[in-house]
Amino acid sequence: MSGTFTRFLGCLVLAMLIGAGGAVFRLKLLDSIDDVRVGPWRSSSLIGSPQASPMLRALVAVNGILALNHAQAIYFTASADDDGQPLTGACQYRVVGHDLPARWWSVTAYGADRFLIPNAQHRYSATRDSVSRDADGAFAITIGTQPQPGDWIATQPGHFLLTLRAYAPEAILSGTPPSALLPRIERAHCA
Amino acid sequence: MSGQRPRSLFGRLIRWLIGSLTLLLIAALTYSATIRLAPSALMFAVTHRLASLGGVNQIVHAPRADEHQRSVVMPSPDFLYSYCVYDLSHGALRVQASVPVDTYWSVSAYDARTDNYYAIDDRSLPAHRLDLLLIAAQAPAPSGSTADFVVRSPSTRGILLFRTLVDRDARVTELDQARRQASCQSENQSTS
Repeated sequence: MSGTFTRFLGCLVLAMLIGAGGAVFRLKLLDSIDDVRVGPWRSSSLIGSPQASPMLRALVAVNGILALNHAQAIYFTASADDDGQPLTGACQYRVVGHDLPARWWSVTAYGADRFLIPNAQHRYSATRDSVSRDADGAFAITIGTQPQPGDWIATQPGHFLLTLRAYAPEAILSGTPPSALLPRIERAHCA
Repeated sequence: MSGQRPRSLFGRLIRWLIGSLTLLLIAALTYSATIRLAPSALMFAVTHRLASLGGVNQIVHAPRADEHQRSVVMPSPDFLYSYCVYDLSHGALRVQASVPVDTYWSVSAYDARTDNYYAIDDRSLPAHRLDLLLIAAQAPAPSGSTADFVVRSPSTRGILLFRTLVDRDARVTELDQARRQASCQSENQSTS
């Protein structure tokens, strides 16, 4: 009887570990806030909203807690380039585009742990106020481990993410899906 | 003996099937419960961590985010963040702030489930002043409060997050001084 009970308890604990472990795996490693997809960028119009599903609320809590709701800001995250290849510090990239239809925007790089990437130059982001533009108003931000002249965001070896923030977005950006063009993420070369 | 063997095997198969399905059901229920409880658990952890740094019902001005900031994931390095962990169990919270000119500024409120249930930014505050009273969901309507806004929090505890955009590095000192004029305190405390 005691052996049966122990077996039952062991199986119960195992089942609970599988369930909880599966949930953690889903939230941490299969991050997919992707109601909205534009090229490599992913977002959701319900981030921070009371209407968010339990899964979206949990994904936001794990991957971007204290995010603003859609009325204030939109967050797009990319973990891959335009060709669908994972972003990696082994490669250099160019984020190319025009100003977003929003009051202010920025592109920021984060490590796989979702914290800012250490670098001596403190080049964590490029913003509407900082980037240079050509005669057509286009900007080109270099993303890579080696310092570059001009607009450059530092990365580190291994996987990383890019987050595009747009504050007070116009309707063409906040629509689902947005009709505004988002910056392209082009892979320049790899080591 | 030969008649019992198939029944025994069949019985064991049924027991194995029932056991497996039960385990699958328990795993699925645990998965669902973890997903549903994760936001509240994480918010509790963040609230506890931030409160341990600056207390409750008090505003704390965090240094500008860099790689050393590990309290909250995905901080923006372009903002100055101030926060106030609130607890309305003993009454309302009065929030007052000076709003900087010509840059994005906002206060956003998060409940115990992580929902951003309220936000106001500089465009809604042309006088460049915020005076807000935060009350619990079931609290009676305040009488005689001079606050410009009254906001009900869905939960007793939560976090107010102040964001000040540093649009130019040259403005860091000015914007840092401006945000330090903000206050966040229990209404009983502010009127005493």
